[in-house]
Amino acid sequence: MLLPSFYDFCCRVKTISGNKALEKIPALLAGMNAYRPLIITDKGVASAGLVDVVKKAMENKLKIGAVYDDVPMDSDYKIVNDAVRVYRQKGCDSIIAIGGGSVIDTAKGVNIVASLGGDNLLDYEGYGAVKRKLKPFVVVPTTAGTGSEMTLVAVITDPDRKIKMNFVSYFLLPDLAVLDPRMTRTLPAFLTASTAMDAMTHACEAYFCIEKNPISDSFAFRAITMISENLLNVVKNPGNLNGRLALANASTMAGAAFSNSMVGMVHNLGHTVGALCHVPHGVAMSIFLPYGLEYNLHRSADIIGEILFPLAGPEVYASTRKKHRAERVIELIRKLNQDLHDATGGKHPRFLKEIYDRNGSPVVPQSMLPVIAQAIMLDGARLTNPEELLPEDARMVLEHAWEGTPLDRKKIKKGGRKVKY
Amino acid sequence: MLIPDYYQFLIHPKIISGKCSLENIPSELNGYDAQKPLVITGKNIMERGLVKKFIKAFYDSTVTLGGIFDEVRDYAGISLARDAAFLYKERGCDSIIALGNGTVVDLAKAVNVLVSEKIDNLSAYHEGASISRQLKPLIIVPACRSNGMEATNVMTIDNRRITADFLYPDVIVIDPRMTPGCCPECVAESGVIALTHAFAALTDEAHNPMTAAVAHPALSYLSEYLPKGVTRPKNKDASIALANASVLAASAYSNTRPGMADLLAEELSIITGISVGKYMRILLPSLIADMQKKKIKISDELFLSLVGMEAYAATPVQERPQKGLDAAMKLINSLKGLLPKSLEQLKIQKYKLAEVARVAAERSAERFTDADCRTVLEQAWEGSAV
Amino acid sequence: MNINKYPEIQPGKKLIKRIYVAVFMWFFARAIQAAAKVDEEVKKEVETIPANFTLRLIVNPEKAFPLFFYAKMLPRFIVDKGILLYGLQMIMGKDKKGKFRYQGSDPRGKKINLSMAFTSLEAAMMVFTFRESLCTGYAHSRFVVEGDLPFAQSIMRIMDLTAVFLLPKIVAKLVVKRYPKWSEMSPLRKYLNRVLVYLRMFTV
Repeated sequence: MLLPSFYDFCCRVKTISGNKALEKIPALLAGMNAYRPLIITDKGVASAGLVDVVKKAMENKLKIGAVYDDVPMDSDYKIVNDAVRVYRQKGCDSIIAIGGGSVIDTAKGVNIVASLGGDNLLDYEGYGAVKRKLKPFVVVPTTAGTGSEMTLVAVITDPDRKIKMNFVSYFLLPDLAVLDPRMTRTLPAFLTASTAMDAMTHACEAYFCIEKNPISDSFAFRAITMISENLLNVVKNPGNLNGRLALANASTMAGAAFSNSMVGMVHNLGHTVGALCHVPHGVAMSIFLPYGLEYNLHRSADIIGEILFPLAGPEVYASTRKKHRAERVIELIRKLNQDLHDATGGKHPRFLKEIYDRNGSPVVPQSMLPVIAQAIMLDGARLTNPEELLPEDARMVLEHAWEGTPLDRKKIKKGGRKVKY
Repeated sequence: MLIPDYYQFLIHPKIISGKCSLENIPSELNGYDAQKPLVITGKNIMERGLVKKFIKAFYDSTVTLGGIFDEVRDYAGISLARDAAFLYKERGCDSIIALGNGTVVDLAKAVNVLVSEKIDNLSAYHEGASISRQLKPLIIVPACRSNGMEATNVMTIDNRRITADFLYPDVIVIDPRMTPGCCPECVAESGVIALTHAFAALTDEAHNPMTAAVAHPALSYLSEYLPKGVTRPKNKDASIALANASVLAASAYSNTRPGMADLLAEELSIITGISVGKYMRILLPSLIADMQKKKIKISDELFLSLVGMEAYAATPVQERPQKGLDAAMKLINSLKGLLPKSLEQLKIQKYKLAEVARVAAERSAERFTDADCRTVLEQAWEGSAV
Repeated sequence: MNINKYPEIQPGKKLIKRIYVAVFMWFFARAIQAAAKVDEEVKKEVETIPANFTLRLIVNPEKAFPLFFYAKMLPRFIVDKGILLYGLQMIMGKDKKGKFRYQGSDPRGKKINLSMAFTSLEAAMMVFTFRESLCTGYAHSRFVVEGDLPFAQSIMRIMDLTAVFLLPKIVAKLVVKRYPKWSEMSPLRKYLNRVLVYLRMFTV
């Protein structure tokens, strides 16, 4: 196994997983001297009845301080301040976040202000503002994809200044991540597909980007195995709870991997397309993943080739010749996208031109591609990609991803030395 | 991949490994708002000149070392911990760095409890009270001989164990300037302990994907670098890899139940005072031989971790678990004559084995029977599997 | 117990490395300033940065070295008040006319938009002696970027291009991810700009 010349790894989140994991929350919170949590969630999660599932699981053993369910699509610092007010009014002593990325980010913000005092999140802006242990914080993810429960970053917007603030500290990591298949059971098939592909992208990018390290590799390896073994099955049989549990596990493990080894151009393109055209994150990830692999192929072919093992199993790995493995990985990811497309009745898009909004109009018009290509320079994931990515390169990739054709390998610019890990 | 019906997993420490990583300590301390660490280290480390190199890493920072307490030898006791705690308070320190392994780390953990809880003995915890508060930041810098417990949530003071999640170190810094081994025996012993821990984590029926993910790199590094490490203990690559393996195996181990070899080695070590590593060297091969004879079903993760993807994929499915045991056996026997090969050589009286087997079986919570433990011990006494 | 047996240890200083980093930063800042004047591509990147944007490169910890005695050992032209009071810093900013200029090492009275802070002097040495490229350094957490993150990419690109102009190919290849081919950057442009950058560094 590769021994990098330097690496750091930190993932101090206690993970509990299982079909009855929710029932363990009260005892574990009591171990941290917390008895009255504030539940933070959004309207969608609440109306799907998931909050009730959690409440029922913790019945009689824990008194819930309050439920705050006003979190919008993009976490906003005013919402954070509002939630802190509720937290204090109801005398809570810990936080449980139930939901996806924005809920978890909001809850991280609430934890900062609730623990460190004050009444405004903006007071804690900037790197290194949080320097001590915060209140007990439990995350119950409901999407099996974002992996936010394992990251140390909270992205919270300031609508007045129109910026996204990053709060970064190891103390933002939750104390507990609870993976229970009951939380993802009602997720519709096409969302299951795109969120799982999001996790798949985290794992693949963690595996081949420049900050890879032995532990994140090993986590990513298992995440890819679990997703490729279970995804299609779960999309076809939504009630498959063991498969759901495997996907939840995979998502968390991929989260642990990518939060330590960073992501590359797939996220760079995905973030940009998301910001400019409002393409859902998971969808963008599944479309760009094969292109990301293809673009970096000449830089780290042997490492991308190793992905074939978890993706297709040892038998296929053994029967494929070494120099063809990386190609096979790309082929299989494309095939997976195609299979998901078929299994969801066309709801899982394969190319950019296949994404439609509710009114049926295309989300990414071809005329936007040059603008998107220029805007990739605003995202940090560009740095950790093995190969250099400049606007003209991005435009070439985007055009192929829009049409749905494989990259023209001759157009990829080469000229770097071997990647040093 | 099999996912158990329920599991818990935590790997608390931040691991920093590689070139120039000692220099990260000041910024890590700064992240905890700490300025003045107390350094706890051993006499042998002082003598090997590692402390000087360590101090150099703090040049050009704002961190003042509150003192270098270098009185630790092979035994960690409460009176020594009290001395160090006194020094900590006198100097107004706010964090602890343990430079070294085994007893040094145990002592550092004890000092941390003393100064954070403001008490002067640990009897309350020996009697079952739990540590339920955040302790001061504790940074560990491993040097050579490891007892496999540094990265775990366990401390052993006066030969008594205390376990609590708050005892996990906060940061582990593995730097090539500190890790090179002092002698082949040391390297072999630490390697065997790591191997036994990782082996226990992967052969446990209830292992989960996360423990497997942590034990995997540990075993890969061991199988790649242990033979090289024992022949060339000063080799930087090998020593870094083995130190990583040690930390990872310990992390996996603290998330699983101890295996039979661990339990027996610990019991023997308590009776005789000889380090667990020597016993593990003898016990693990006999355990493996026993498992092979009984054809116990284990997961094929062991094989994958030890031999890598290529060889794993080239082996037929049904042979993989057994080949995993073979590979583990081969790895441990690559140590050849470095450590004693039978309990007889270590002068253990045969009549004592029955008692050891009984206690170990009791501690295993009915996973192993008395008879199983006896068989393994008797084989180890003769050293026939080695 | 005699606590005097275990004396307190104050951190020492690595003088030569500090001087190297100080000199390197000065040259580097001047080179970026020159490249922004000379090369079209760098100019284009600079244009994407908003006016009054200030960048700071710093070796942590700040204020650790308000040292007067080592100032004597530095070349005269590098020494300014900032370096004496605030340690190793390099501040660059875009002024109202749109010029990207080196502004010394005194952070007082300036609003820093983007800060790149090396975690330690050793970390800075890793990058400044080309043992690690800027990207590898970032991946190995040798420095922390904070502030207006969107513009960090442009700054990195400017630094990469400057490195291509300043350094011979064999060294520059260690620093940048992809060394530009002839089709991307004609040798004429590269060598001409190299000469111009070096000239401007020392004269203007």
